[in-house]
Amino acid sequence: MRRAKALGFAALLAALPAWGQDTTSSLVEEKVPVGSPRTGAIVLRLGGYRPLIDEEEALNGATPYKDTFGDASLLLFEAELQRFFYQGIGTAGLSLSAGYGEKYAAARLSDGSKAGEQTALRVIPLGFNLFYKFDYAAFEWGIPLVPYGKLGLIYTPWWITKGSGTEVVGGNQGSGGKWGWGATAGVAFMLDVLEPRFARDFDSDLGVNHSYLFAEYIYADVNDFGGGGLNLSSRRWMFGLALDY
Amino acid sequence: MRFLFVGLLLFASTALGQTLSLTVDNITDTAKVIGLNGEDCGDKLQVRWTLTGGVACQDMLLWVTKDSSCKDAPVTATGDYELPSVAITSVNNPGNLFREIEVDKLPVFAATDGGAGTCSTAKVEQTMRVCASVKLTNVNICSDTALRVATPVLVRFDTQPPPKPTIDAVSPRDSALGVTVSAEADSTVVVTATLPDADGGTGTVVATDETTAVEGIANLEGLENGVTYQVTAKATDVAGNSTDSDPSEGTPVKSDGFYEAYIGAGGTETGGCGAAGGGLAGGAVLAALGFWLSRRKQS
Repeated sequence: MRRAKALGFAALLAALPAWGQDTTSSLVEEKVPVGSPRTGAIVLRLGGYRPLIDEEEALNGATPYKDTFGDASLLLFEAELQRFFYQGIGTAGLSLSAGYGEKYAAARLSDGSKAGEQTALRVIPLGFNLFYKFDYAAFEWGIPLVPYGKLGLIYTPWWITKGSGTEVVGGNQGSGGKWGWGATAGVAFMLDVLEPRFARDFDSDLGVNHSYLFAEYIYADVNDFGGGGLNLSSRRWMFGLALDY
Repeated sequence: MRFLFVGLLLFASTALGQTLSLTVDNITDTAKVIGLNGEDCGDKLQVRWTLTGGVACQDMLLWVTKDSSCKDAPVTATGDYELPSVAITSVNNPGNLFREIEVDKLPVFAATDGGAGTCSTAKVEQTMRVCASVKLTNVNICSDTALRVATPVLVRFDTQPPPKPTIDAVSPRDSALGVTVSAEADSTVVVTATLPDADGGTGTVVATDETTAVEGIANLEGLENGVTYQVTAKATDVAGNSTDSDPSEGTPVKSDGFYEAYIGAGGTETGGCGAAGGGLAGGAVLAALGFWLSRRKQS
């Protein structure tokens, strides 16, 4: 009996280490998320905006914009908030954007010489866009270029000043708003590939999944859908920074 | 050693919160200089005080000095003008009590002050400080160190008119004139457009604009294009002394802004109503943005 007890105790001791061991068959492979969830993006861009005012049919070839401001463009700054509603083979979503641009020049005297006060054209382009970006290749195959496109509605409040106030001509206030549409095509370079570790820290610390530098071409018709009046349409390049969060 | 440290700490913490401040003629902005001239000689300025963070253990001293800073007490040798002191009981709780500075007793008129004659005949320009000091109780002991007024109020007695302001440029604008002026640093400048009488008389003032010597730019608006106006600038210092500039002339001219150029070229934009629609659209976009962001915050 004593021998049986000793054997039993020895068997128990021998079994103890085995309790802490997992067999291969009992391992369950769990996927550990490598980044925070992506829900949207913040986009900041800058570029020259030269409205096609001189192409208004009623002007019959006259060029008031060029005569006043020359060939220079307005410097336009825009911010855009994007919300993703599809993330699979690429990313799709909706976005809202708002910008501001202004251009100053000397007002003119009747003989064409420069007056002592300034005149300015100011615009605040607002946009509501549907977009798609093909970032599948970047995420799955490590190709850091992301082509994308947008299509949307544009509304651009504008006003023209002379001196310290809005210019009035023939009783009409030089301010208003124009509706239009725009299409955008661009390509973004994913900066994560340059500093992967920094990109991971950026995500874990601030929730920014990916960052991009981009260039895009915008085709915008902003003339109340052909309704006449001030033509704020443009064909322009914009450049900027995008942050997925 | 530990007690010494604690004692120093207690002393320091008390001293940090102690403030003695003055107002003169109820002007609380201590950066503002109170200007006086010969016409104010019969006037009196009321001085009030506020002591916070401490309890007075001696009468409070008040005086006016020409020195560049306030000392612990008036220095009669340099001609400081001492006001009646304030009793201990009234330092912390002055109620409606005040002291008066008699303008004709300011320390700038007597020969010993460097002035000459009396207030009404003096030709001086002197900035003075209104000072106060009081000793406070510190751990049941009257401190040896006086608490001085935090920021002395500045009083300037000035009978000298400022230098003549200069009209550097008159820029013709549409129904307006832009005037660039130079004047003594602390002066206010009023620029006036006058339509001279046909017989060469004084004429009628049709537009004025006030600026400062620092800004130096005035806009005369509401003028008629093609009419020549006489432009003058009057600089007034803080004491109320003033000097006129030499007259200059300017003629407003019609100018065309971009909208005029656009309409003149045949443009059909009339603006106006579009702005109202745009306001609605912009409001809708902003509302959508706000809704979107609020949804994001909740999720």
